[in-house]
Amino acid sequence: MSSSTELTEKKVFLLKSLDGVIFEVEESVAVQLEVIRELIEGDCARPFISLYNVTSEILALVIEYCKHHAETCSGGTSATIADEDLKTFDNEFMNVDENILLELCSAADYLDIKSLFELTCRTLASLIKDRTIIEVRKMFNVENDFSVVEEKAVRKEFAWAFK
Amino acid sequence: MSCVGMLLRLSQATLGKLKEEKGNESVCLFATIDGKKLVLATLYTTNLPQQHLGMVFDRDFELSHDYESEPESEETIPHTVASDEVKPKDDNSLSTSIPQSFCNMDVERTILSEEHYALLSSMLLYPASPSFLLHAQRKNKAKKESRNTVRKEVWEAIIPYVKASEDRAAVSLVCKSWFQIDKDTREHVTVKSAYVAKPERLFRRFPNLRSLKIKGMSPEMKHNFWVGSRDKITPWFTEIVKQPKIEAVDVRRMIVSDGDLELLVTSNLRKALEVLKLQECEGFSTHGLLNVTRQCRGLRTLSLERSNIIDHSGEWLHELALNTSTLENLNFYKTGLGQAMPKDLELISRNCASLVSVKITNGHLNNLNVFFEAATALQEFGAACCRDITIEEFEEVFSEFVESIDELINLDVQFPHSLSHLSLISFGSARLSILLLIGSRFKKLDLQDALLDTKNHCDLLAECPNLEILKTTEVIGDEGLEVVASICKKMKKLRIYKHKEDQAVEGVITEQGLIALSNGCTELEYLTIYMSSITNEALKCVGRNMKKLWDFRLMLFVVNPQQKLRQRVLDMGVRSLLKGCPDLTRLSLLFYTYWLTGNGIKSICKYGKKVKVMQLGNIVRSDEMLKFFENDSRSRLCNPIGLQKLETLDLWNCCFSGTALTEAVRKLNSLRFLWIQGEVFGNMLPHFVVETFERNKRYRTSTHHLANRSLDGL
Repeated sequence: MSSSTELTEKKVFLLKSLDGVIFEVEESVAVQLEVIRELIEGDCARPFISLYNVTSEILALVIEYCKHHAETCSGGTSATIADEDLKTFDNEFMNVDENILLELCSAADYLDIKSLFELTCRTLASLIKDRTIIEVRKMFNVENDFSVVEEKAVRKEFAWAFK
Repeated sequence: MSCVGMLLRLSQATLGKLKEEKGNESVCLFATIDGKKLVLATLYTTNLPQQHLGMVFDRDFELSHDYESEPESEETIPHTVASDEVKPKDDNSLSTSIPQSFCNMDVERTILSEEHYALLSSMLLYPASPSFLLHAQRKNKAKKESRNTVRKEVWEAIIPYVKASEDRAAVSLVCKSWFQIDKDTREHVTVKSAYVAKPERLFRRFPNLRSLKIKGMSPEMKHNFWVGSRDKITPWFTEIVKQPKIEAVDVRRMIVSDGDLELLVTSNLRKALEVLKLQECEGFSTHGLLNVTRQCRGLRTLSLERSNIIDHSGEWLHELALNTSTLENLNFYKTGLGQAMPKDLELISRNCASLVSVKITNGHLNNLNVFFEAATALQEFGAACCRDITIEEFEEVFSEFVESIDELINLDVQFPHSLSHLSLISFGSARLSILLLIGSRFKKLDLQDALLDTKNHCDLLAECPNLEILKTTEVIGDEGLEVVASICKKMKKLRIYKHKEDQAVEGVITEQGLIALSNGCTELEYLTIYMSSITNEALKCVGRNMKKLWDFRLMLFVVNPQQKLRQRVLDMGVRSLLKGCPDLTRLSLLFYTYWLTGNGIKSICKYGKKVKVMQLGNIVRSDEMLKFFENDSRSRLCNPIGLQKLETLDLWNCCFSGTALTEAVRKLNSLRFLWIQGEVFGNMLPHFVVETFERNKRYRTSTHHLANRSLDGL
């Protein structure tokens, strides 16, 4: 109990990933995770907040993202410079493979981080761009559950009528 | 409820639907833990229907209540599950040591009493929960499998960011759930040919469309064979007005009657409609337009460019001016509608702060000063300059015009190039100096009907280093192209059309101009060019330098008697072009005095991997065209299989046999539209609706065939 109070006073929270790795984050970072912000506001943030959805690999990335965004926003730089900086950061941050992106996207959804969710969604959508159906299926490991007849019917509509 | 291996936090308790007659009644919520029944909270039906709990359970417990109606009247929502390593000493949470891993759903179901199953399932269905379970289960599984756990909701969020229609087409075929997501989230569709599918079918497939573009015949087809009844928009409008979400309607080359417009404006659509484009259409009058401008008050775009409209009065524009405050684009360029009332335009520019583009037909520009002053956001302006006013008047007008543009631009320092797109009809060289002063501001110039000569072009273009789009005629000449090549380095889209017949022929474009252009404008993406002579070398140059080219249309007409006969075979040039420009999606080659042999045709088949629209006219002299369609095992190159993206194929004056054609069409899976002049190809084409036309031109009758691949039949 005492340690918990102390941590709260310092405004540091401990997040524990699925595989048991504990991350220490400051409040400014933690509140970007909407789920955790709710807990904090409800004064329910226990010393450890376990996140069963998120592996340490992904959680580390999420925290890196939130940290950078929190720092840039409070850094006192002008809005345009901060915007530029965040853009560059986001671009570099999204430079990972599609599996990580998908997990990041799911994590952002689960942790309710709107900006990261939107960013990953946009990036994943851009990965779909200019790919064939087979490439998309392979990339995201999606199983084709169309029958041959169904697939043909859908194909026709696009090839001949709708764009 | 089993809590083995986990902490479960109950964040709040809420009363659901209650029978109303009960008044403010109290409901006690209990938890039974280790045989002890504890009161968690007391809720009151009217005063306190919900209460925060913030309790954490570390072992099996059972929830119960003393309310007498159905158990599902209470809902409890967990927010998170705390760590198994935490040992809270909190009084409420009754903590002890907590063991290993989280159990799965089935175990919980068996332990739950039926009464509380509803309660628990409402917990588990809380957004984060299903994946929470899945992720908990996957702990020991291979990482690869985890990818399958991406929930549908996540894809539902991602897929709307995929915009391009080709990508959407791919998305819809990935799996059934993606098909459904695409169906639900598709906002825009272009119907490439209005006769191919019935409107009912479209809206069945995409019930949530916001924007729809419907195209009739191709421009060439419209010019040659305006068929009439089947080009009517009526069946489409009848369906469109039933759609709840439509905001934008874009119609090209169809017959639209005043009755059809009436249909639009008497429906609910009149409030929602933001974009209405009726371009290159005919069949309606200003009466119909008046109805539109009177009823549709939220229009952002009204475009009628090149439509043939019966002009009864200018009242429609006046009505628009009175009603609109949202207009951004107003376009009735080349419509034949009478002079725009400057007062109306003034009013529009005053009422609509975001007016960016205005293209009118005839305009007394001296009366438009006030309009220019008020239109502070104007980027694009197009007008026909009246021929019947004197040059002095005209100069006066234009000096005003320029001044006003200057003021315009000075108003907003951040956007000094506010007006960057200009289209002029009957402009004439006498007033050119006005444009020269502000040349650097132009990004787009349409001089097709401006009546400028070659020298004027050279003078003007030399002042326009920022030009990206230029539309003119072959009057520009080799000299003009050389200026473009050396000055207009940003040029993306260049269209050079043929002279109108009544214009004096001046300016000739030869290989010299094309070579200069391809060396100078490497950013060019779109090139339409009418030329008098060409060489293989010039085409090679294009292939070597214009790597971004995706649309190339070459028309060769005038015979140059000086040229040697052997140079007229363009096989090598076409090969280098197609090889050098891998992104080419549209290719037109219309020759009269040049030709390709079988080898040239082969290279088209081999390298035209992305070509979607292809027009070939007079490109072969003999029956070489046959090779194009030949599918023999000896040579794969002859096989049109390389043209797998081909959608539209126009063949003019090309020889081939009906059988070879049928065979080829079978192979070209994506082909949906064929226009052939010459041979009969009968009804051999599966899924195609074939029509035949006779056309008389200069005492010669030619037969044309039009074949549309159809989903529903005509």
